[in-house]
Amino acid sequence: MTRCNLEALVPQYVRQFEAYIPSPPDDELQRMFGCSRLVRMNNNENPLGPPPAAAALLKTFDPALVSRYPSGDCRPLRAKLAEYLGVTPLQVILGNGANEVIAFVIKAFCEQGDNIVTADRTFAVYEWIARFSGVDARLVPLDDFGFDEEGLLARVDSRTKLVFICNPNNPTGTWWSKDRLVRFMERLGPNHIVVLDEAYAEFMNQPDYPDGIALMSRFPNLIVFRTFSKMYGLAGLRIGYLVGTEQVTDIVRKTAIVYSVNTLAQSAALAALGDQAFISATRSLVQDGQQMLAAQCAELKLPILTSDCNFAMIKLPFSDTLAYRLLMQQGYMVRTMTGFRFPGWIRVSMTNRDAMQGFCTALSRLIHSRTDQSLLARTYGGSL
Amino acid sequence: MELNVELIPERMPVVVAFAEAAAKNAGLAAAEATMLALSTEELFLALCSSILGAGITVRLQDRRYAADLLFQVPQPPDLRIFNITSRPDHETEAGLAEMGLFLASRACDQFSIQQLALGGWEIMLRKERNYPAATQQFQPLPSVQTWQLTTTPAPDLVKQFSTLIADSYAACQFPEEFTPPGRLLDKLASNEYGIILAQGEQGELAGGLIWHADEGRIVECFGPYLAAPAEPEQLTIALCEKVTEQFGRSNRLGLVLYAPQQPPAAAGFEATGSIVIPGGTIWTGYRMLAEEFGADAAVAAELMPFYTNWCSSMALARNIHPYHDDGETGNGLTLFATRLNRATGMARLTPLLVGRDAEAVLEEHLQLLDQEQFSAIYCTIDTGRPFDSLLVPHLLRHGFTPRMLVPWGGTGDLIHLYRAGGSQ
Ligand SMILES: Cc1ncc(COP(=O)(O)O)c(C=O)c1O
Repeated sequence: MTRCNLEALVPQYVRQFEAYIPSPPDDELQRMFGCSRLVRMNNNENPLGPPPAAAALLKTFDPALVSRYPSGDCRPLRAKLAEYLGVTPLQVILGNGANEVIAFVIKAFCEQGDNIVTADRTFAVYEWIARFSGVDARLVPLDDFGFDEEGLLARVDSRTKLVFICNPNNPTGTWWSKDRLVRFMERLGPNHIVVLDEAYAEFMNQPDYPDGIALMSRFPNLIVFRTFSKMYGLAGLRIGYLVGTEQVTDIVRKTAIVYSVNTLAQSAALAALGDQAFISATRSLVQDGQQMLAAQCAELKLPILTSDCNFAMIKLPFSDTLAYRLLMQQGYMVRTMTGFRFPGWIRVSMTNRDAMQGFCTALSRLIHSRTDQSLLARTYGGSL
Repeated sequence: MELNVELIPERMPVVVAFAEAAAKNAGLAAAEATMLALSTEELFLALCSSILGAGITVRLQDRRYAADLLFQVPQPPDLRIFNITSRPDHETEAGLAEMGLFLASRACDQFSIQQLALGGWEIMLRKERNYPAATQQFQPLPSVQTWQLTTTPAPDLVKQFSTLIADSYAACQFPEEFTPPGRLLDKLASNEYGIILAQGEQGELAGGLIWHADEGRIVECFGPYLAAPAEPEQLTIALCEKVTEQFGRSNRLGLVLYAPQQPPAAAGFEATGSIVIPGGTIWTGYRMLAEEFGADAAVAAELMPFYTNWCSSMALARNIHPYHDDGETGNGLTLFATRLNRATGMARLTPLLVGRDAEAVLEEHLQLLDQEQFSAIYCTIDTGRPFDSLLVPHLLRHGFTPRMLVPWGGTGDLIHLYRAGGSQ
């Protein structure tokens, strides 16, 4: 048998990249950690599930339909989204999750030698896709947990094609106001694309939180990402989208994979979109959860970052990855923040009342069993 | 620099000349270049005796602080030649002197062999440069109240840090390779090492930490070494958090910290045992970087109490399979990768293959290491490689005791066993 010389085939930037390993299925984790149930608080999912209309559709979905290809460019859904968002159908491109549209955009605009600019402690996928595509990812430190306007501008150069701003930011929940975004766009100028990742936009309940889509007429170099995974509870179906000006989407469409959004996802998203009662119910669940968690952290003297988003970040007086293991043993799965370059922090997704209560008890037990808390208060007490 | 050559004794002068020229090119002094050439000669002959006629590639890797000669061979040589004790007549003094590869490892500073992921084997001979001793002593400073961290310090600050370590800490509390200052600077320039230093308002040195990342999944960290900060605990936490942050989003799975004193829990390290080195004991901490997903682990019955205790105190999710020797055939032979550090008297054995001759091969190694006065010997067992367990009863019988667990350190978890030189 002749050996394939893989070494010679693989580009250096792929060779250097380490594949992401997703967590194993719940039943396997439960077995490994010896817990009889597992509450997922690690992926910012919606504990209410999808909106009722989407749930009903899924229950009655005709299996015969899956032998046919879906709409290759999600035409019915684009029409509805366009109407809902006040744009034209051509301005919308759907993908297999917002993750996939990140790849469409990077492929459309970047070649080797180009760079993207984003924050060092934000959603990792911008950085990952850039790196395994041979594109430099320039990472700017957060300033007081938020995106740093000056820092970003300082790293932009003539090879910067895209600036990614996660608004609100996962995992800190911080966000830029409309004024701040407008000022940034004006200072940056028209020669770079700004991607506003609004994955959590539907959770935001702040008067000066900007609607990126509404700003596109003024700043045609804006692209907005949204997803059905978070507020709309369709994470398992994988569907997200981007909105840009028609000139921009005409370009991105070239690198978009057709037929990558399945029929079930398209139909469920159509049914789910714009259910205001469901959005209100979710927001109130999130608000309750945030309050409960903030009260618990105050009692434990743990610094916490809360926001309108369905997650909060908590600083622990010891290793976050150790906390993860100890909480898993109690049946609670959180996200460790070391991977987001926030050692010692965990990110906790809001879930329903009972599970939040259970988590608060588990957290309290954990903290009391392992700490030297006075030190933590001295280190972080005054700064938050 | 690269040389393609056939493995026949007549080609030896070419290879030796290449080695010497390469070493000089990399900045080694004449004496060191000669030593590397000597090792090359021994290795080349040993390879000729094993895979005569094969085509090999010899390459120089200039690490600044050292020159590595890398021999890439296409097919597995008779691996026995890589056991440092492989010559049959090592019983006598004269026999010892003739052990080619052992001599090779004596003349160079590090010797290793690895199977390449994409085919072939690579044998490495490393010779380090010599550096002049530090000319200045560390000047103690008034205590620093506030500090800033830097990962790209000016060379002068690094030199100060090197003298701080040498003058304020016992020899067993830091790897001697961090001194003298010239060597530390070259280590940092090689990019395998990194440094985080804390400076006060006037730029004065408050303390620091050094890390070392080789090809594995674990990053080794040393320190924090502190000058006289007003809040030593706070500075310790800041330095530990900084290194954790640097590797947080990387392909590394964990950090191991060798600390002159135990840091507070808020620094993020968990106790994971301690290691004995000539002159003292070092506290070791572990920082998992990734989320624990659980793993299967094959563990010899003799190590079960040690392993299960650590798994439980570190809350590791392990599906533990006790490994019993039921007489099944393992590998045909036993092969150790050996790392010797003559300056510190430490030797590290890592089983690459474990076969039925394990006990005899181990005994030979220990006898030799004792004769050569290595005072601390470590052997590392991997719970992800079931055959490693076959070695355990022999290790325990020969005076090794388990000291430290490094989760996810190898294919599975690594258990470091320690034996004081000369103990049975
Ligand atoms: C900020 C942000 N953008 C994008 C995504 C990806 O969403 P999707 O599930 O649609 O791929 C996430 C998911 O966690 C996110 O947090």
